[in-house]
Order: sequence, then structure tokens, then C-alpha cells
Amino acid sequence: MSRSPVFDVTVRSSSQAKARSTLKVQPGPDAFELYDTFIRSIEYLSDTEGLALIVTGNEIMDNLLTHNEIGLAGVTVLVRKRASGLTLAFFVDSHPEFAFFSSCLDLGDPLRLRFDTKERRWRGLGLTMCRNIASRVRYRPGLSIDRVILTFDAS
Amino acid sequence: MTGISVEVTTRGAWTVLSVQGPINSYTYNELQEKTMRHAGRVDMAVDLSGVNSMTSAGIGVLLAAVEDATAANRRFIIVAPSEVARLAIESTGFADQFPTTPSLKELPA
Repeated sequence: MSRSPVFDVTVRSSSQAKARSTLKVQPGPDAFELYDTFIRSIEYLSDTEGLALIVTGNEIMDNLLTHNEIGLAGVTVLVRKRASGLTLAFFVDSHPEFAFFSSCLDLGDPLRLRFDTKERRWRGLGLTMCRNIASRVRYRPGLSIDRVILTFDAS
Repeated sequence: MTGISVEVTTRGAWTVLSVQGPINSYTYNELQEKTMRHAGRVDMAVDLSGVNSMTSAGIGVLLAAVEDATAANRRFIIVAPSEVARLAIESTGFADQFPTTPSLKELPA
């Protein structure tokens, strides 16, 4: 276990068939560095796995920490490795915006990758990145906790 | 490093932006400001060798710079992307829009 004066960090790992690590971060620019350090410190991840978790995890954290009030109370990150593959999960306090976003995902089309000519920016780019790297990306709203779960099948 | 630095230099015909640090929603403004100042006005190279993480906020800035360069018939190139930057760009499906060179020494004339 390691602790930072700014963030509550807990890392638990085991070298057994199932390995699990967790991290709690608070909103702020430091969150990304802390997350990257966390991922790079997990010994049971290969370089390729670590790279995938850094790119996708930064994207999810960016969305959770900077969009409105989601993630204000912090984000808990879970990494789990099993024979079937990797799971990267993010847990935040439940928020109506998350549920709305999740319902849009279920509809599919409103969140497709598209160029917003008015704002001159691409929308849906982050989700596209995650979907192209992970095997599955799921947004699961809950009564008290909302979850984003990315799974990476073992190759 | 929680912020980014964007150093602007000139190398031959190229204006080179060397980016260090993580590019995300907290930090992309500096990159956006400097790319908007130069994109479409000069031939621009963006050195991403020092980028340790990059989200879609950064990719969006680079895509806008590519569009501005194309519209103005200027050149745009990515230099030596770090592994993280390379995977982030590839994962968008837009990698073909980003010509890349492995080092500043190999910039076209």
C-alpha cells in the first residue's frame, strides 16, 4: 500500500491466477499522472496491456472527471486480470448525467463518431478510441454507484 | 508532470512544436493555442516523443490543425510519437490523416 498526501491510493496485487489492483483518485490534473503511475506499477500487466489501459483509462477518466458533476467525489479504478482477459472498471457516485449518457449509448446513433461543424470538433472520438482498443465498453448506471467497464479479451 | 509544455522552434522550412507531458482536457488549451497560431500559416511538425498520455482532447486539436493545414495547402507532420500517442492516434481510425516521421532529422526538406 502506498499513500499520497493528495490522493488516497491503495494498490493490492497478487501473483496468483487472478490479480486485482485498485486506485482512488480525486478530480484534478494530477489524477492522470497518478493513474499512469498506478498502471505502470502493476507487475502482472504486460507492456502491451499496460499501454492499452493507459490510453483507454485516460480517456474514461478525462470524461468522468471533467464532464459536469460526474466524478466530483472521485473515481475508483479497478484492474483485474484473469485467464480470460483484463477488466478495467471505473466507479463514481451515481449521477443523472451518467444515466442519460448510458441511455444514449444504448440507442447507439446519437453518439456515433461525427464532426460538429458548428463547434469545429469531432464528437464521439473518445468512445471510438476505447471501443477500438477494448473488446467491450459498457456504461452501467446504478442507484448509488455508476460504473464504466472495459474488458480486454486474452489474445 | 501534470501540465504540458509546448516549445516552438524552427527547423528549415518547418515550425516545430515539441510537446512534453500529458495531453488531456486539463492541459490541451496550451497545445490548441499554439497550433491555432501556426496551423495553416506555416509547415508544422508536432513532436510527440515527450507525450506520456493523450486523450481525445489532444487528438481533436491535432485533427483541427491537419484540416487547417490542408485547407491552406500547408504541410503537417507528426514527429516520433511516443507509444501512448501512437496508440491513441491509431485507435481513432484517423491515423492515415497524420503523416508521421520517426525523428526531426528525417523531416522532409
